[in-house]
Amino acid sequence: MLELFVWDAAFGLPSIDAECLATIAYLCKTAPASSWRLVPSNDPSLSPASHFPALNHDGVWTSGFDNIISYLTSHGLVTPLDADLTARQKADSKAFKSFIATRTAPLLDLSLYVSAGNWSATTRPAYSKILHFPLTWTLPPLIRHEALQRTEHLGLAELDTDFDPNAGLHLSTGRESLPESFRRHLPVVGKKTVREEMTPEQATAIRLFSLAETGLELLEELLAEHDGYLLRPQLSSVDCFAFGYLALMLDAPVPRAFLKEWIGDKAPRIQAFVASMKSQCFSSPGQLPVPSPQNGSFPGAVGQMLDTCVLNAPGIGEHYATEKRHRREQGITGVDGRALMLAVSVMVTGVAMGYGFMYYKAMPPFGARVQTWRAARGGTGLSQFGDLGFMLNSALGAQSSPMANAGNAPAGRLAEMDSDVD
Amino acid sequence: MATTSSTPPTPRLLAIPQPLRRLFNAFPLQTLPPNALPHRAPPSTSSSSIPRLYIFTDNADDGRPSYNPSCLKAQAALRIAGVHVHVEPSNNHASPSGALPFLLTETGQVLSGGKIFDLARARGNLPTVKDARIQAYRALLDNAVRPAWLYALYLNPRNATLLAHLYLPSNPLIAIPTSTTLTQAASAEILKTTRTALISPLDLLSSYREALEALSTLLGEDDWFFGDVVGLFDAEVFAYTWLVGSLEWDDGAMEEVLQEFGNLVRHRERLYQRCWGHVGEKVS
Repeated sequence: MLELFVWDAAFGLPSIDAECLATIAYLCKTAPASSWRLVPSNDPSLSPASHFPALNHDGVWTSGFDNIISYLTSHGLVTPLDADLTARQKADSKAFKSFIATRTAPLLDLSLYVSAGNWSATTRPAYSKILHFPLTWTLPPLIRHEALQRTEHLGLAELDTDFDPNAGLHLSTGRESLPESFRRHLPVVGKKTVREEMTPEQATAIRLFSLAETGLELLEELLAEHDGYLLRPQLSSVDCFAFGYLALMLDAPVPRAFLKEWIGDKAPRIQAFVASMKSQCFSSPGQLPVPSPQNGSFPGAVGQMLDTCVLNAPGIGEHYATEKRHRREQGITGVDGRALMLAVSVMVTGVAMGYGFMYYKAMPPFGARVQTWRAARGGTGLSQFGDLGFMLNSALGAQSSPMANAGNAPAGRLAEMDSDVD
Repeated sequence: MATTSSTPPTPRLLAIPQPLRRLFNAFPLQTLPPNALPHRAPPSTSSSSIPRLYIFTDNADDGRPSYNPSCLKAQAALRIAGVHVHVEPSNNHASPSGALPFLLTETGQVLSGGKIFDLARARGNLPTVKDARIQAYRALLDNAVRPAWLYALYLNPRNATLLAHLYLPSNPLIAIPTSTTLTQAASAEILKTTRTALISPLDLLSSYREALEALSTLLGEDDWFFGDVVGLFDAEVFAYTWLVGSLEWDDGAMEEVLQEFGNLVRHRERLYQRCWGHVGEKVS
């Protein structure tokens, strides 16, 4: 039995991840629904490569669209789509897949993850729906961080500004309800400039437009050339791969829909392609196997939660991620020399820091908050006779007693040396 | 209203006495001609009549191919276009954009990235390809060849000697942190490109093989990619094939794969002959 592990469903599509969606579409077109199981999950570490989509064929794990397809084809588990391609078509197919992965996929990252408006209104709630309680707080930021890194080279970091000029809390909102005396202290908000009125997406519209053109125009041309498909006038695996990305572009109900607008304006064939693929794969209920979610055991879930918490921690998170990746790549499971050394160094640092803290606490205090000033008992001259005596003593200050001259009987003393009063 | 004083200050007291003045006027006794600049010094901006290309290279004098793919791409494209440049050995710290290559024009303008090729197109003969598929094949180089290259050079422990020879300084105090930084940057770059969580050398190599297979099919029996004339895409492919075949790898897995595709090897030789066929004659 084939088990396909994917990220869970969102936006009316069987998965929120484009590559998973592509793999589902491929299996849907090549294998009967009874021969495989769809397993939505939210813990990629179930697969040895820590990556979804992952295929589990009786204990043999494969992950990634290309790897899964070549595994399925080489083991004769499906009726392959690419069997009768010419050499040139094979070359084109590989090149188009690369094109989609490097030029089209970043657009989806920008739209769903980088754009702060879309992330908070659409993608984040979608993740909240498919993840269970503590993970909804820890996992989505990590996924978003990866997308941010992947699109760093495009130089569109300003999409990641949470500031929406037309909504939310601003100094000018509710200004009238404040008392006059407060209002005077607030800066006067004049008329906003056009630049300030725009959302980040509107401000970078020209660059987004040209990026969309680079990533999608070729696909539109190819669809026109091959009668609604990318490679030849019938379905091939590259169509499934493109469908994963294009379907998410069109179906995610994002508020700042620059991709949807571009496709609507310039690429009617992409729209038609996505619609036809959707109706071929997901329209009738029998085409997809019923999803059987698997999210691991309770200890697994707790482990994943702790894991994501550490990954989110600033500073430590990156080192932890590198170390974890290293261990998985080398297939290390137990404790080896490197892990031992790391553990020992962490322990030594911890002990040193703890010792330092204790040493600091044990040091004599540099100053105390409470200061006591007491009139000395058994003071000089008349001051031992109560208040009146004290007054008389000060009045007769010129004739101070020999003891006072010696200086060892002050009128009072500071209990502590520091006089810094706060 | 204040008036400006019309009487000039009288410098009688401060004037230099005539005998001293005569003595001072006698100096300098002799003016020597200026020393010549060191041999490797760049020509001064006013006198340079050709642009200067700053790349990673061992030796600027004979203009040999650079050992960095993106520098080699620029170098080859400029040679294909027939634009003469003066090659300067440099490093990332010298670049305004933080990465090599960059080009300094005669007027002192700094060009980097795609603008170098715009200059090559404007001044020389670099054909523009109409075929839209070129974008897809360019993506193939970025997506399948580059990660394999990064892994082979920066992450494969067997090629550490080569990496140290090419990019690391000899002082271990600087070399060790630099090497850590390079390794981290390379693995981050590979993970971003392949969109996976782990780096799998086998997957990278098989993807690289598929990419070369696709390129080999695309080239077929032609001399050049996309048409009868040599163009920018040839330089892009050459930048990897030349280095894969000519650096001193300890783990030559990439080179072995390249040798399987005879037409790519011949393309590599052909482009080298065209651009560097008469090395020795000084480039100017």
